[in-house]
Amino acid sequence: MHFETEEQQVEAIKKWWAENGKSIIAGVVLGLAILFGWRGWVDWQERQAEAASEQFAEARKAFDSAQPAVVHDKAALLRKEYARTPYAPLATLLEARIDARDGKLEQAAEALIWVRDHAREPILQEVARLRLARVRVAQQQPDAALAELEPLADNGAWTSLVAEIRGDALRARGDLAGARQAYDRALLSAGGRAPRYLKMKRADLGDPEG
Amino acid sequence: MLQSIHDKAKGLFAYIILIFISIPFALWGIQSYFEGGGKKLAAEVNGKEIPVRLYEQSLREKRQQLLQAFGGNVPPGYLDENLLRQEALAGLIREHLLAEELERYGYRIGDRQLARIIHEMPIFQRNGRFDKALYDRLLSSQRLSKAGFELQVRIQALRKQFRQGIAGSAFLPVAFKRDYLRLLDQRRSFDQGRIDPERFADRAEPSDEDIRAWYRSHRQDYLTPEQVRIEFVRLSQQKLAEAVKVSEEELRAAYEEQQDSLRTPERRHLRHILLKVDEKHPENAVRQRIEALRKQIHGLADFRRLAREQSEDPVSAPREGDLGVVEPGELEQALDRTAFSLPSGEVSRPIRTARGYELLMVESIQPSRQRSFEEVRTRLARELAEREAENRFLDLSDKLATLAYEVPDSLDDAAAAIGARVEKSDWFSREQGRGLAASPSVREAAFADEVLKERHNSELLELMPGEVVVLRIAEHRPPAERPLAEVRDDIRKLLRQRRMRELAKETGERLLTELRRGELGWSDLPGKGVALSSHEDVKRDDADTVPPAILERVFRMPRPQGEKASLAGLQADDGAFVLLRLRRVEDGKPSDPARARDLDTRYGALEYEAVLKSLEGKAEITVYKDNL
Repeated sequence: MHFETEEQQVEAIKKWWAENGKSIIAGVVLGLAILFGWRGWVDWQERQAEAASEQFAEARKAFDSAQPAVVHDKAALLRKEYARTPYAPLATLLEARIDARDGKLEQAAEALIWVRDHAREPILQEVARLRLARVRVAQQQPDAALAELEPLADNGAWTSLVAEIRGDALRARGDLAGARQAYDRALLSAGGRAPRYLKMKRADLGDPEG
Repeated sequence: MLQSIHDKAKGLFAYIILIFISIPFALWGIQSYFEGGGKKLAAEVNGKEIPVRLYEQSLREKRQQLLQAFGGNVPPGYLDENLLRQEALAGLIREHLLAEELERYGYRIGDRQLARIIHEMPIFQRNGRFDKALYDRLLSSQRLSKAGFELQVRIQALRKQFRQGIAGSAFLPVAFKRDYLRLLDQRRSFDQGRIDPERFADRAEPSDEDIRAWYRSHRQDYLTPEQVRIEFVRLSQQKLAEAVKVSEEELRAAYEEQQDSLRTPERRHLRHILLKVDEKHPENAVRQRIEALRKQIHGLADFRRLAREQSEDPVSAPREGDLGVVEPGELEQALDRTAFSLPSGEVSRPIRTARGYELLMVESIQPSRQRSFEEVRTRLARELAEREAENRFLDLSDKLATLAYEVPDSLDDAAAAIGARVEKSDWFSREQGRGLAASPSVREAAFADEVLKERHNSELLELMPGEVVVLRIAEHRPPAERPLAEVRDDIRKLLRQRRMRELAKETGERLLTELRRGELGWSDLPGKGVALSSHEDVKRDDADTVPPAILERVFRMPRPQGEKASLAGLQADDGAFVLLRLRRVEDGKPSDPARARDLDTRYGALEYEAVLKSLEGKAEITVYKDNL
């Protein structure tokens, strides 16, 4: 384009603005809104995580100073308000420990089931499964325990611990040969780090004579 | 030429050039120019790069830790370089994975929580409260930036949260704990039947042919050890110091220079009165008493008399409170401060010390004075010589190392360069030596491939701080077969031992089979030359009465079924074959499960270990072996 005078040029710009100005402003506003909205969302998440972290620290302190009621309160709060943070499952794991110590196995199992089903972090789900399997053995439900361990079977990291609980479950079911085999697998996989309890359980089943 | 570029580089052309130049900066940042191009990677973890630099730093730290654990001198065999490398890399990979997991799933420590954590660290507290000034001072004395330190604390706190969150919530249900205690407290009653190998001594003598055959097939076991003699050049800082001559002028100059630090400390002759604070004498009462006492003192004579009559310090009271002549720093801090600020002849205010309240009086002051040149001459001479020796040592050890490396097939040049002689050692083996070869690191260096096979000079070895050596092989004696005559007796003994063990085992296993079949009763055993013993209610850890290997076997035996005892046999470490009859198993009584509390901790640690492994298992990890 070529303009004869400056006035012509100004006119052309004005006209162009009248046509496109609104959409440009709308676009810029929308862009900024998305940008700030996103930042706000991220900031909000960070603040949530930090607040949950503090709540969990208090739960941990309460646990150490033997105030189970406070632990339960904090865990309930974390599950309600901060379920997406890792601190809700962590506090719930702590609850399960308290319940089990008090002999409330069903409550402990419920807590562990919550972690298994609601933790976003796969590793915490794995931990919850393992502990739930032990609770099932203690509840005289060896089949439920074995089913719980199934998804962990292919994960090499858990081999020794899983095999040990399998042994416990099979022993509870009266399958001593199976238990022997499972304990042997647990011992083999643990190498030098096998816990004494495992060694005793295996030894107590004895070797068949011959 | 630059000028002509400048002249032409105007307008569009200049902009194009500028854009081309800025592209690499925009893409890779200015850093890559300073780092000198592409950086080497040790590994990649889920796409995140671990540079070799980090790996090497971690390796250095690991070595340092090992060195510290052994007090500066790691015995050979403990420093497994390969293992150390593996651990360094594995540690870094774990750190990265953990950091990723924590970041991804929203583990956070906010500023407020961080502040609380730092405030609770005892090292930054004074009188039980956080002290900001102390915090700043400690950080700057460690050359730590506040931001850097706080980041470290945050990272540590996050890791602790994760570890504690998992390991600290682990538990075994009460039923498991009872089961554990049932096994732990189990007692077993059993009988032992020992078949002593000595019984077969007369049937175990090897023939000459046996001995020769053994010798022929085990030549490798009967070799003289490989030995070497080494040449070496030694450099010792202490020897250098002895040789340094310090001139009179140097001494004078040093004396002038250091005058300030060559003063005697001020000394004060002190007396004190102590009133103890303890359960019977509470703080307030003692404080009032000592204030009253203080009012009665109007001079040295009063002080001495009251010290004798009232002081509760059994040592100084009979000597009228005399503490003798002291220098700064000899007394506890509260006393020290007053003692060296109090004018002579005045009574101090009551001072609270660890024992109670005390009053001080300065009887006389021996002021600080300049030490004379003659007084400090020897000390100065020694200091100057040491400093000079240290410089020469650094300089010469550098020369020694360089020349030993540059002329690898002789030590003569290296020795000449530092004005030392080449010395020669006695024969020594890999396992032992005398003199210089008594040092394991010297033996290790002498038998290293580089030195023994390639016949090169060794690296510079530090024997201890201020003493280094370079060595090379002078003579080498490969392992040689020892003649049969020399080893005949060793072989005879060995074969006899083996035969006796074999016979004990054969006999034992035969008897065990007969026992199991019921062809033989346990009470028939003494007639077969078996020594019987009974053990009642033995616990797992009763290793005093029964050797551990036997005990372990006993606790692995199947439980007796009704009247039928269970049987087993094993060869003990001393060669005896031991028959075992398990009569009774008594499980531990259900007891307080709190006794098994450490079980939670133990399994918590195992679970946490598995968690880290599981993270590793899911990650994509590439290790660049060639860069390590």
